Amino acid sequence: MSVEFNLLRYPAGVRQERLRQQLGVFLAGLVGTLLLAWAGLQVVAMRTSTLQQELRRLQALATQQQAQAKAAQQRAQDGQVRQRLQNHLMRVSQQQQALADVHAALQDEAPRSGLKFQRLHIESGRLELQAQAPDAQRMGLAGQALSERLGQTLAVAGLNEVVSSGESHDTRPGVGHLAVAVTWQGAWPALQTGARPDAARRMGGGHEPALAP
Amino acid sequence: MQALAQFWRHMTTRPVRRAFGLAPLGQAWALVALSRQGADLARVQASTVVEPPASLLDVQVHARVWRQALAAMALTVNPADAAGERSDNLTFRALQILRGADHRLQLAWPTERVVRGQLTFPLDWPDDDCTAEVQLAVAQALRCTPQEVNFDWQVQAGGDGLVRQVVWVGCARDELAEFKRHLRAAHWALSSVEPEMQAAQRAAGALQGGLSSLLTRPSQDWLFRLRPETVVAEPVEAGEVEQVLFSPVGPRLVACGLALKAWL
Repeated sequence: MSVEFNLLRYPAGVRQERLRQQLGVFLAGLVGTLLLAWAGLQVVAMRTSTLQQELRRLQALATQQQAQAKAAQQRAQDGQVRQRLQNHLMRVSQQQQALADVHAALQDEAPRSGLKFQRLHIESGRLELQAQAPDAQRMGLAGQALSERLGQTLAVAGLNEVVSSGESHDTRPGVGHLAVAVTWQGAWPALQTGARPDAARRMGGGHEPALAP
Repeated sequence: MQALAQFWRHMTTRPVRRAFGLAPLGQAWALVALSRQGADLARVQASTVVEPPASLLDVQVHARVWRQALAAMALTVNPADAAGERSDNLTFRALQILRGADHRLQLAWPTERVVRGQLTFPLDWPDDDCTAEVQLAVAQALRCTPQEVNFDWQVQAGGDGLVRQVVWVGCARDELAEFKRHLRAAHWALSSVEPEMQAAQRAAGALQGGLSSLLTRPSQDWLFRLRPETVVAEPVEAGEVEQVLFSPVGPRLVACGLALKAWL
């Protein structure tokens, strides 16, 4: 039996067979394509997941670094404020020291030269001192002594002759005598931070009894 | 691609347990069911004769007769499931549904309705050209247009190497199409259609006990060997087969030969 006929083979059978083959190839291609697409999607999904994890990690890192930077900035600001306060306190301390020096110099000089200190005014880096001396000579000696004690030259800004109503050892009771009213001026260390320039310390008449011998 | 085709075949086919052959028996048809017995034997499980009305014009009656006959055969061979053989192979079942067929059938077309001939072609002719030439030859033999024929051709062995000698057979398409419609209405489908002689030769070659057993045994006891090496062990002369073909048992033998195609 070498020859096998099938009357259904031509023309429809062969056509159907080819169609079946093409359909098989198409389906195989479709399945293959779908498998490849699925595999590709899996790879993309895995990579996306990895990248998202990396992104989250970097975002957390960035947040942490931002917080650190903010803290560092805050620390720097705090340091600056602290430094300013420290400087200010140092100035205040210097001024207190200077004030104490002036106070000591005035207390020492008043009984020695017979000066009656009336007013001490400190403003904008300037020191102004008003006093009455019994005479010009004592006034000059006192000014020189005060200049030496304070480490600066006190310039005479005003000089008047006045009648003093106070008691003195060389005047009769109830009779005034002549005295010299002098105003000295000098430099005063200014407060640069925190302190208002016009926040001057005024030492009015209240000082006079303290400064008086 | 080869592996893919093999996989596809595996998915869409299954071991055949039962096969059907339908052969012309005068104005009637002999329908035979063979069932497999073990690895290398098949026996006749059921046999019947279908007698459609003589008039081919009565289409409704024809269809009803075929439906009844084929349903009776299905019930005979598989009483548990008369609607058809169910399969666990879902792919196969899906294809069955798509085909609209529960059973597949091999058919022998009556010799008087088949034309045959030979043609010679140059060796370098493509198959498509040979097919077109054969189609023209068949149409000429049947005296109809080329679109109205069914045919097949095979290269004849033992050529001189210079030309290609082909043998062709053909039949009118309309008659076959009508027949296919009847079968489809009964949820059966045609696997192949072949000349009677071809099926008879196949059956005679596989028949256990040779052609003489046709006379000594009733058709229900015919046994056929399915292994090719045992099939060719007892060569049968073409003349003897032709004699049997025109004997009373010829149509049943042809139907058996058709069914055997499922395994051979």
